[in-house]
Amino acid sequence: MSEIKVVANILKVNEEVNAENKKRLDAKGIFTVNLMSSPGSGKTSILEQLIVKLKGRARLAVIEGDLYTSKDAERIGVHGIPVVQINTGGGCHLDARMVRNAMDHLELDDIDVLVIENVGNLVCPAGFDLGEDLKITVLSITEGNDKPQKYPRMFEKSKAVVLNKMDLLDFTNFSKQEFYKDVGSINPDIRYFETSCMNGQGIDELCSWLLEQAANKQAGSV
Amino acid sequence: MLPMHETSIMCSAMDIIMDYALKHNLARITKITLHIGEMAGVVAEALEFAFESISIGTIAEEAELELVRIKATAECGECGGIYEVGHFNKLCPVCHTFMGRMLTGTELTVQTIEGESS
Repeated sequence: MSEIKVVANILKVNEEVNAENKKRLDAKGIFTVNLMSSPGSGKTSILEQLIVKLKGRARLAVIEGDLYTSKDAERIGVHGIPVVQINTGGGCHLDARMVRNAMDHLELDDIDVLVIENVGNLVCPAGFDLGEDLKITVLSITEGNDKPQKYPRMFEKSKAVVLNKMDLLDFTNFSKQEFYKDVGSINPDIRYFETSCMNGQGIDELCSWLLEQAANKQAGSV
Repeated sequence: MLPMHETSIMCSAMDIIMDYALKHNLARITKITLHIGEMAGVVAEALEFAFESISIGTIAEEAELELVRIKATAECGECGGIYEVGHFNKLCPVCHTFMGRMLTGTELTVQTIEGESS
């Protein structure tokens, strides 16, 4: 038996559903962010801060990815915005199919900005597009400045990096200089934000930038 | 526990492989070749491990799995030169600008399968 030529992209199904999601979100003019980071870096805390700041300026909705619990969705739900929980049942990342199903539970006509909070993981989420306009990676000071070197793909694929827990900088040996140098060698066009959810540092800047990106999309230039 | 990322990738690969095997009336698959880009974020050993587990009880159980690593290359946006890149090494060796378009290195494909017909 001779060999059979296949030449098929293994991630094709995800890429097809990614395109389908993107088309559906574009049709409604919804600006969509895929928010990624390690567990415990502060994705949900940043999101909570953004919800407060965005109130009255943009209609926000959230899709929460988590292995088993709905703890984060409950935190977001308190703020009175639409939130859908995806439990991956142990899976280490969200994929486009999961997001497609979650979108069915949202009133897309009533949303301007959709944030998809990925499963806490600095590796796999980078490989699976979900239908988003852009990816943001959050890294916290206590994780150490060596993480871009150890997990380059996340930084390679992100349009912005949020350096969180800035209030702890003085208590660690985190080198911002090394961090910026390493991220710059991976992705020179990436946008930086330095934030703290304890004292509110940088949240306004992040919020303004997101609104600007959303406005660009709604004006048809993203 | 299986490494999840590579497991889900191997599961998707197996869907494609089984689809082609069915189309070509294969009773047994003897060899599978995958192309894995250097910057595809996939660990070859983890894929092999996932394959061993997933293929049990299928017509691919005895198949040899060949993983071909594809070097990462990019085209310079300035001078048009083609050169090898890595995650931290993306400057053009000639004009030192940041890489333009990536040409290869992110592949994740089922290339060929071999087997015996029923």
